[in-house]
Amino acid sequence: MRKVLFYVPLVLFLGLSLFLLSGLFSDPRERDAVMVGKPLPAFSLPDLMNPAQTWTPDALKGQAFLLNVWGVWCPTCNAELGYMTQLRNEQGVRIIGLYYVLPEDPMFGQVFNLPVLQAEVATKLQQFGDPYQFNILDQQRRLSLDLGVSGAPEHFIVDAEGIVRAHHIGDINPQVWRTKLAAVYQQFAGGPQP
Amino acid sequence: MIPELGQLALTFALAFSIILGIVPLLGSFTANERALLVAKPLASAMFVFTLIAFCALSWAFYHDDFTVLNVANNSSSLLPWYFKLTAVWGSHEGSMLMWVMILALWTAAVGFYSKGLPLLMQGRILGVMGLINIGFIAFSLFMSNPFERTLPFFPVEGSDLNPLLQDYGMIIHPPLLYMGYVGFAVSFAFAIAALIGGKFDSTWARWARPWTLAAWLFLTLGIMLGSWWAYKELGWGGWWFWDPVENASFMPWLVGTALIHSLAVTEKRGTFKSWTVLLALGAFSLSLLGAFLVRSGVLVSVHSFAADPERGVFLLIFLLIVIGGSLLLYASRMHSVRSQARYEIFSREVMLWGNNVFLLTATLVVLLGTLFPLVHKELGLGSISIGEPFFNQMFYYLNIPFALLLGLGPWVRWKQQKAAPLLKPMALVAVFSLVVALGTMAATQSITANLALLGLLLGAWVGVSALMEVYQRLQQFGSLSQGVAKLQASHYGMTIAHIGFAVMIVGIAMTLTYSEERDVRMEIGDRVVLAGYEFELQDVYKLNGPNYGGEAAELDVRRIDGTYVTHLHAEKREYTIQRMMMTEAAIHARLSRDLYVSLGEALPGNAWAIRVYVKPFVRWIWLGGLLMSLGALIALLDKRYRRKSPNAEAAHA
Amino acid sequence: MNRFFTPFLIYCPGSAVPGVPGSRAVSLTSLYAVLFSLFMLSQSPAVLASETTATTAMNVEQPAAVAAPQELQQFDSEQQRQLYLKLTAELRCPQCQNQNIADSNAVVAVDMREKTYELVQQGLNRNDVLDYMIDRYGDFVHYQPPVNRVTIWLWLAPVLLLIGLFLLQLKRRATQMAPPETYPHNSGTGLTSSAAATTSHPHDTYPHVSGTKEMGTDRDEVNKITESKIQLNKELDQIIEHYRSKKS
Repeated sequence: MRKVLFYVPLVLFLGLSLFLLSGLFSDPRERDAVMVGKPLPAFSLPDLMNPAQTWTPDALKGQAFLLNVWGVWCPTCNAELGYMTQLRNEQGVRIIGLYYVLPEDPMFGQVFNLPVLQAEVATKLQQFGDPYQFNILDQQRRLSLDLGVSGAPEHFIVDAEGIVRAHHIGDINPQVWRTKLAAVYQQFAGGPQP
Repeated sequence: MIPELGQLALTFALAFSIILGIVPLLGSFTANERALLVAKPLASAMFVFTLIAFCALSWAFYHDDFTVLNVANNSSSLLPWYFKLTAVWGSHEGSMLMWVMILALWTAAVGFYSKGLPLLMQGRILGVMGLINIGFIAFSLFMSNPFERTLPFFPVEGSDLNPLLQDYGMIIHPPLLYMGYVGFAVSFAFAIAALIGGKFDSTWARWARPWTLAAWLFLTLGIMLGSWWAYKELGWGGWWFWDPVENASFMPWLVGTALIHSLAVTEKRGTFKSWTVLLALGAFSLSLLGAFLVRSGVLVSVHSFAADPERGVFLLIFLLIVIGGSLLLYASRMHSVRSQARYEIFSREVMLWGNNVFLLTATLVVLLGTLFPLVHKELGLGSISIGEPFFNQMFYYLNIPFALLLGLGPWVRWKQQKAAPLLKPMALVAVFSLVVALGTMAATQSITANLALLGLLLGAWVGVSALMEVYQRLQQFGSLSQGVAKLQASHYGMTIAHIGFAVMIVGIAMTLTYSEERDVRMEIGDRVVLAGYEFELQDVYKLNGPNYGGEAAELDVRRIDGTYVTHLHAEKREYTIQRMMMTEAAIHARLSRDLYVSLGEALPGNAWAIRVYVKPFVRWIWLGGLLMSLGALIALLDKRYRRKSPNAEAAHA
Repeated sequence: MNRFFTPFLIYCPGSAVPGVPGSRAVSLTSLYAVLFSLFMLSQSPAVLASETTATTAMNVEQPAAVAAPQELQQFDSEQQRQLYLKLTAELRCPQCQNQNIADSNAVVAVDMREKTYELVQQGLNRNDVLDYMIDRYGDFVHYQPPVNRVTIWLWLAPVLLLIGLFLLQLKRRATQMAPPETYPHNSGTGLTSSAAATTSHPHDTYPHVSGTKEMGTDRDEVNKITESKIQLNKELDQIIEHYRSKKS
């Protein structure tokens, strides 16, 4: 018995090493997708390009869609615009943008200016491609907070009843779409769209 | 040319380390004296070449050689020269080279200062250290070469040292910390040598003690400096965050503390051998684990270097060999060793056993808190975070019995202690602790703040007990003056170190309870009052530093009765190259409290966000750490470590 | 009775009450204790004048009668402010390299701080606010893990370690009570070897006779032999050197 006890530190260490090894290949900052299975939070936000129009969760229901949190200030978002446009055109994926506005910096005299923003967005979409049916403007970032968004780009797959089915932090590229999101979207979109 | 010479020097060092790792150990098995004798010159040679490599890299930094990748990534021509040299260890590759050099330094030091050691043992110890050196030098040379060139294209200007690191703290904290981390390799080597040789007697313990004390000294200083530096640098008045990298340095410290105490028992009574050996193996193993955690990207930390799974795998394999191998050796050799010493339940042995137990439990708490999120996630159970609330809670509970034991321990005799003679002194200590604690609480007009009261009580218990005990011991020599000269340095060291611990607990408890902060919007001329002090914003102007811009604020501080206290200067720097904002807080330090002001962002209407803190007793935390290091230093100077012949040594009462 | 009262009287430093052992120590220490308390009293007017502490005050902070700058965040009560400070210290920034939301300037941290402020103003308590954030960002965002069947080990394991080690020590006591020593007591002079004779532990697999040495000391013999070999080699070298010099 005493002899066995002396092997305990070794055994504990070997066990720990297994976890260390597997930890080397995983992302320590990965968060759980707690929104999956929950309905979209309540919100009432204007359309980016057409502020007179207001979007609510009910208005988005009826068809599954990919919700993309993005901004022109985010280089990774710009990089994925091309692929997402491809998804829209070739596979008929319904993509809705949630525009994440960065806070204004008073030290630089920045003030929120909608027309300027609309122009910037239009230029960017023209340059890289426009995958969006429309863009929802989240100026106060309240909807983003309710969705558990910590930055851009982030993606949600929402089904026709407005329940969140997937949450992906990071950009979408062919590999991510294929391995993680395509199946979920297919499942809730009800087959390929014409 | 110089960087290539540096790389060549590192290769030579690797060669020497390989020979050092093999030859003396073989010599110890075949009784070849020449093979054993070659260990010391090999160690010295290895150190010289790692030093050359380190100097070569420093030269490249000093001369802004941006053709070297490491220099280009971590320095700039705008840096002041002392920060250029500091940037040498500002990256993974550079700090790894410093680790290598310090390890070689300790190895050479063991070679030089071990004349009293039997040749056989010396050979084994240096051989084991050589083996460890092989791993690190190979890692540095093959997986994180600091001398890599950017040629044929090279940048005109470097990316600058991270502004957070452009501070005096960066000049001393990493070197001291590494000296501590790496220093435990010596105790590790002693333990392995003992396991190989089968000899765990008190002579072995006596030789191992000064090396362990020295490493512990450096580690204590390094951790204290890190805490002080974070407090000064980060701008929010915090001094410990239970960040994984901080924990990675704290765990070897906890085990190292247990080790120095356990070595005392092994030296004086010939018992606790399996504890001592395991702790010696554990301290360095935790240092290695710490190095792995910081450099592999397994955990999220503000301190961690950029992640690279390949590096991580190499380090993990190294860990498996060193730690796994040593623990295997321990398990297979140690169970047959038994010590003969007997001791009663109430004896110093049991007190020190209690010390070991609590320190080990604390180490487990820190280990769990640091690694459990990883394990939880790898098991597929989701992502959790473990931080300050958990650690503070556990340490609160662990510290209470630990401090109580600390106050009692030094009074208890070896082998057997009758309770009766201790009742009076202990009662007195208790009474005076209460007086001190309650007196302080009365002064602060608060009896309900539990944490502060508890910290004061425990701190006073430990401190008063240490003072009374040393006083009583001095008296036993006849008169005080006689006693002062005769009492060994190690006893003084113990008293001072224990007082240091008491001071630290008091500081922590008081600061946690009584710290106050205010976050206000101030225009020039505004005043804010906090904890009896009035802060008035006098001026804010633009900054123009060597590699930064930004703003500075000037404040006047008075007491509420009007007496002038000091003038404060706070800055918010914007480092131009890395485009990073940095707060240089204004601190007015006194033993009783710190005044801490940090300048925030500019607000509309010609105002600024200013954060004002009053932090009572926060200096006591670092003062306590300094006292602990001082205690270790004094204990190191004990005459018996300088004695050549062990025969003259008598067992201590 | 005398012995109980004398410690509480302050004598001149160094004086002693005859017949009371340790009274000098006592008088000195009592003097130190009083001096120390006086030192504490004098050292910190700030602490003396401390208006509120974390656990006592409930009133709103009243600044002095000068231009009172606006608090960046106004609270209805000191309690609310403390709650806000506590929450922002224990909520983790989801985006950063291990920082709480109080210390981070990331956009999401700032947003979470503002939300926390809003919720505290609305009167939510600590658990409500934590639940709110965890519902949206997961357990990752709270620095205290949830207590469930898996995480309970965080608290159980250290306790079990403590208990386990205590039990081991008790067991050792029990076996120590057994047979008398067969070896001279280890006095720590540095010349005795480490592994002494065994006790009659029933599970021991090595055959032992009183006075037999164990594996550890077998190796000790090897060491001794090796050391004497080295000594012999040294002497041999010296002899060779001696003759060599004689030759020249």
